[in-house]
This record gives sequence, C-alpha cells and structure tokens, in this order.
Amino acid sequence: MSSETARKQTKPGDVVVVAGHHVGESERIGEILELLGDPEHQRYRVRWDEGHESIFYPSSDAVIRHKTRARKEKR
Amino acid sequence: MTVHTAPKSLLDQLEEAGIAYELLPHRRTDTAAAEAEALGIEPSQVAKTIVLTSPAGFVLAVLPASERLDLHKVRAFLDSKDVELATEEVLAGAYPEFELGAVPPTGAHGDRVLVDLRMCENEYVVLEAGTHEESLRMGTAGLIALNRALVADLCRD
Repeated sequence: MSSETARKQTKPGDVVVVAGHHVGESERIGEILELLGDPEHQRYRVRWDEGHESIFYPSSDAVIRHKTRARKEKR
Repeated sequence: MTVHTAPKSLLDQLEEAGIAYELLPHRRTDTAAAEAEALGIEPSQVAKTIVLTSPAGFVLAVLPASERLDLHKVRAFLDSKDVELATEEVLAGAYPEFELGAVPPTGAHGDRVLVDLRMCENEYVVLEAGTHEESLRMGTAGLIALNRALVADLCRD
C-alpha cells in the first residue's frame, strides 16, 4: 500500500510517527484524534506522546500506523 | 470570546507547497517572547517577523525573538537607504487577513523575505500563524524554500 493510500484510509485512533532527522534523535509519536481538511490535503488533530495537542500536516517523513481492528471470525 | 485561528489561505499556501507544519494553540500573547513563554520553549526558537517598507515593496525580516533588528544592516544588505518599519496603519491595510503584529513570513503577497542567519541554527522555527493565539511550527529549510528567502545577518551585534 502506498503511503498516499495509507493516509487516505487514516482514521481517528491511528498513530502518526515522525522520523527523527539526526542520529540519536528519537521519533515523535502521536495519536490522531480528528481528521481535518479535505482528502487531498489531510491534516490531523494529534495528541503527541509528550502530552500536547496540535494540528499537524505531515510530509514524507511521517508514517501512519493504522490501529489494529479486531475482526469478527466467521463460524 | 472569539478565538482567532490561522487563516485558511496560509495553510493552503503551505500545503500546496508540500511543507509540513504544526499549529500550536496558546493563550493570547502580544510579543514573540511571551509567545515562547506560553509555549514553554526558548525565545531563540521563536521567530518574530518585522514588516519593512522599501521602494521595491514590503520586506519581511525574520529573526529570533531574543534578538533586535538592525535596520542599518538591512539597508546595507538591500542597498537602499529607504527601508523603514511599516506603521500599524500600513500593516492593517496591507494584511487584513492577519491580526496586527502577527503577519507570518510566508510571503503570501509575493513579499521579499529575509531570514536572519541565526535562525538557521535551529532545524525548526516557531512563528506567529497570522493570529496571536496560534503558532506555526515548521522546518527552517521549508520556510526559506517557500519564499526563496535570502539569509543575512539582520540583528544588532
């Protein structure tokens, strides 16, 4: 799945991970609380792991990790 | 109470340029130093934008909140004696979409942008987002690329 497709399938509860740009710099991780903007220019309300919330518009250094959703098993 | 947020035109400009940004809400502040305090970051990480008038149009000078603009250096860099601080009246007429004193240095009107070389010491910069209640955090390289800004020594020694 391309990163563009992954972003279009983003839902609240998914996690955004922003890569560190320097050796030893840790990545930033945040939970997506709300989707804003239009599908072509999706921005997110994010609660970051250090505690603050912001509106975030990602670039190519950000990856969306989808929340694992439980599947109903067929009997 | 009305909460002022960043104008859509500003966000559209950044998104169309493919520049990542973060909007940081904070209590209303009137100075860049107070903005830094409200966000809990060092004043050197917050930039203030000073709007100047010149014969060629507006010039936006971007420098750390902790520093003071040296107009003599700007005049020498632009090779013009006719560079002055824009008055509030001029600012209100030229940038009606932004709160007075919160013009972001994105060059939305095609204005020339000068970035103080001290800003380049930080990977990210925090700016007024057109409002005194929200800040814009973006890469310093992105800010320079967005405007084809020129980097120069703009501050008092």
